[in-house]
Amino acid sequence: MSRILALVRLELLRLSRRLWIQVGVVAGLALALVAVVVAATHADGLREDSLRRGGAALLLLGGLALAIALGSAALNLDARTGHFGSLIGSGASRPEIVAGAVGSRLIVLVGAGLAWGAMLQAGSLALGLGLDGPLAVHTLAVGEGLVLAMLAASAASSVVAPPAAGIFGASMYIVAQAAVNLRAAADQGLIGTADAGVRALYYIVPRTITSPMIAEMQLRNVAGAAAPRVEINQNTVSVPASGWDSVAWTLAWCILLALLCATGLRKRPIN
Amino acid sequence: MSEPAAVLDAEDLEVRYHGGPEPAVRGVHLRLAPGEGLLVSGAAGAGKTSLLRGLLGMVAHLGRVSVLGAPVGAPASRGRVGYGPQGDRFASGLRVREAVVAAAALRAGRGETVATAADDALARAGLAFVGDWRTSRLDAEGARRLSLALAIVGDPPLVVLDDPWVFSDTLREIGAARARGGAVLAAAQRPAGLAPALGRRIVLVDGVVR
Repeated sequence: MSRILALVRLELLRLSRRLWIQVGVVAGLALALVAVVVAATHADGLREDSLRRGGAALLLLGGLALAIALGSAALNLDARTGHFGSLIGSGASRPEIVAGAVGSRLIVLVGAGLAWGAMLQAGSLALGLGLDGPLAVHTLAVGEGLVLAMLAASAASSVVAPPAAGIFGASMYIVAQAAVNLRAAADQGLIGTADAGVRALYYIVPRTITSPMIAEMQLRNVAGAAAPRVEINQNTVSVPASGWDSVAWTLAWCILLALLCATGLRKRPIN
Repeated sequence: MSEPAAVLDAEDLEVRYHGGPEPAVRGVHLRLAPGEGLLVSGAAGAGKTSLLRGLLGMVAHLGRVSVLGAPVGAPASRGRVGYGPQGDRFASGLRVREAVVAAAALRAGRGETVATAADDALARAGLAFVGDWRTSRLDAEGARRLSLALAIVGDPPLVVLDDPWVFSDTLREIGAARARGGAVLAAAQRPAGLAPALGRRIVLVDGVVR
């Protein structure tokens, strides 16, 4: 365990010095501030909607960009440039190296999400809205999807180059979102003969987590970029909030992807 | 009298990348007893680095490799090898001292021993005065010295040097490691003065010992 902690600390140190990560985290904080300022220009209920809409867009789009960027280079570059080789030569095992590289990236991603969430909560307080419980729950819900995307990109990064790993991570998130949307459409009888296929897909692939807040905003068509209205055959799909089963299912997928990271690096030549 | 236990023992080692048709290294037998040194030389692409990577478990290999009696990669063999990698990006994103402290921590444990061992290795590799530098500031010589520091920190029983430069510090550390009963394995295309310091030499040609 002490070796894993040493590796996580080492990789955190390296990540914290990367300019693009510093810029990304600070830009997220700045955008959260912008969301607060924009919300301040609205009154009453519109103010709350505006803050939540801006915050949700930041958490999804900014978070996804950060997650993909972090995951896509988690293992491939350091395995090629000699960093992992020097760690193995110092006594680290491959699973320990994976734990260090992926664990440190998880900490950065979760830390960034929490910092952005905290900024939004501070803004909510400053606007006189009090602490926003539904937005806090939404932050956690989005966070699970971001962790999924990051781990998918990380797992792919053990065998392919960063661009391909990034595409894989983003695709995994899109598939997870599609599974949720299609299942909701099927439940509303909007899919037709493909019902069985959609339900099967839902029980195979991971799922993004829909928070009660975003489900309600999407229904009113005020969720913005984070949850635009879903239409199938000109019919609006109402996507319900996820249950705990989906939370657990996606968590299981995250664990599977973390194991795939270790499996992918197990046989890979390391410089 | 029985033979002394080998620090490094490899039998019929074969390294093959991505299941390619031709192995990068094949049929290599090595045995390094305590106090012994071995220079692996050969032209670029002869398989020197592949041999070291196979011996250290960085690439999949066939054959048997053990370090101090334990299979390479097994918990018992970890932390008993000091590896000085080739290239100059193996410690990217770190300061010089941080890289050596990390190697010491992975090899030995934690606490004051680690810091002391790291400072000692930095001084012996001639890097004490640049400990706070980012490794990206090091020139080629600095990178080779950092590689040496990573290999010798904590005085491991087996020191493996990939493409070391022949500084007086390098030769002194090879001698010191052998004198305390360790074994030293170095691979170099232009060995210069390494051969006398290491004692034995093999030449790789197309992945085979000649």
